[in-house]
Amino acid sequence: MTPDWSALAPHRPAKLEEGEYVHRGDGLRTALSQLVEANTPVVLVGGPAGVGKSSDLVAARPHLVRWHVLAQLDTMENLRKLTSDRLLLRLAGAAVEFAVKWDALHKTAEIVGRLAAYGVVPNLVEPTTTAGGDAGGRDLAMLALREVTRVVGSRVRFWIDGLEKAPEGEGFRDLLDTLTEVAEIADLIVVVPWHAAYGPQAAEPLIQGGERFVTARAVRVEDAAGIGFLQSLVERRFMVRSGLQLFGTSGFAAAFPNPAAHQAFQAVVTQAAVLSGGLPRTFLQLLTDAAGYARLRGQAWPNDADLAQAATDHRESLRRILLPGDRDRLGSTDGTDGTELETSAKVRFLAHGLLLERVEAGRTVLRMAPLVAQIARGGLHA
Amino acid sequence: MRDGTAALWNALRTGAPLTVVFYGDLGLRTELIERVESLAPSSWAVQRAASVDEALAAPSDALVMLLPDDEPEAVADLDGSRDRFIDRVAPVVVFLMRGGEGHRRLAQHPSFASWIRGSDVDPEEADAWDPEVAREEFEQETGQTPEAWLAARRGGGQPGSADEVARTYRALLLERTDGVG
Repeated sequence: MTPDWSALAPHRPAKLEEGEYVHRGDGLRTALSQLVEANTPVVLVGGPAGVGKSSDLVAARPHLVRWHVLAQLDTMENLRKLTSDRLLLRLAGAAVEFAVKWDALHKTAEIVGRLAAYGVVPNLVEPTTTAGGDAGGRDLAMLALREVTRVVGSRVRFWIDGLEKAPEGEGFRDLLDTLTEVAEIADLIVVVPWHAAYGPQAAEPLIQGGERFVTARAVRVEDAAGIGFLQSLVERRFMVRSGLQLFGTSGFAAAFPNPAAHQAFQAVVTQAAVLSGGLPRTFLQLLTDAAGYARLRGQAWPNDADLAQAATDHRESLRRILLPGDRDRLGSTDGTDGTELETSAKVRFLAHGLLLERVEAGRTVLRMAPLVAQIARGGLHA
Repeated sequence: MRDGTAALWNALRTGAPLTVVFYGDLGLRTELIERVESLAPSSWAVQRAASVDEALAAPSDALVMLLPDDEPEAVADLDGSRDRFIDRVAPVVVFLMRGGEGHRRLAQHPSFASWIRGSDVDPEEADAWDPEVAREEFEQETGQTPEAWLAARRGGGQPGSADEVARTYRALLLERTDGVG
């Protein structure tokens, strides 16, 4: 039988409602749940690309409690061009859609119709092109947010994903100022870019006093639990996306002709986990890429050689995003707390996952991702 | 075996909504466009786009060749719009000039760079391979010389699976035209 490798979908966050999500005990989900439980008004979230922030955000949001509004800005807007007015309109649209869903507002309410003109209630009214842009939208959005707060009788908590893609600069400061306004009437959990966490503005509160910053860290692949988590990701995605009918009820092992073949694949999975440095997206990308090379050999499952080819592709990709001098910077920062590294390089390395934060002997240190370490040590095109 | 064709073939089939192909000059870009088209599943319609907005407007089951008028602008827009491509069936293939401003911008755009990792291909670089070694590898995998493989297909055999088509493509690249082999 031929497994459907597109089931791994490395670019796609886990679909919670379909059972794809795997709970990582030491992950972001646990930290967020605790902060929500403690009524922390503003929580900022940072972490490297591909660490699983979006999956954890969706999973941590209480689903059976009202007024936890999810706003996945990156699925709706080009974050590079997001204005503060548009941000506010999007939050208002998300809040109003939730209020309608929970029967606190009717979809014929005046505020719904007025927001529809800005195309921000797509689940209630099909968006159409508006000639007027966002003019007048800011006041309307604030009005909508206050109306939702009034009809539900409590503060809303927004779970805002995607803002980490907003570029640095004045425009980003405007977005933060807008969130400060929103924080007066709503609680917030916001994924922010590394430049917000480590850049020049990081010394001051980004949104308001009392905010908490949480970092999503890569999986500890040194531990059996970490490897087990990543193995579960693969199995769950196969089982849910294409597996139930493919593999039957006897589980993932039933996909293999014999136990030895299953074991051989598990060894490849473990190797991919180690090479990924614990970044789930990188891990899934390595396996998907390796599976493609296996197909070229006419095989259903990848072996060590296929994974080696995939690792080569990944090293090439990583090499292409390095700037002159980066190998030396990365090499000299490896194993330190990174205080000697200039801020712009640190932000870039952390955002790309070239350097990963690790806790070693009780202190946080920066370590090169394994494939990056191979490049820095001259393993490829030295 | 590792070559530009295999890397391209693979990149088109990972399920990634976005992939990047690097080119050295416009002549090579034209050649690469044809190569991508020939490697893509035949069920995909092919469409061209000159901007990210045009690519977003394309049907999700069409292979989109994004040849940006402004490459750095396109990279920045793809970073900010990445997730709006999440439901694509066929990928958007973004052509960037090797060493150009768009290529260099990848360092500033981790979200886009993270999505394309492992599926960005520089076929010219990858093609810097030894054809004799590649022939040996082909023979080890298939038990046939490229010429024998092609002769069987040219003899009116079955069309074959996607994997066989990819192998045939490799065989065509490895075929000796002087009758040796």
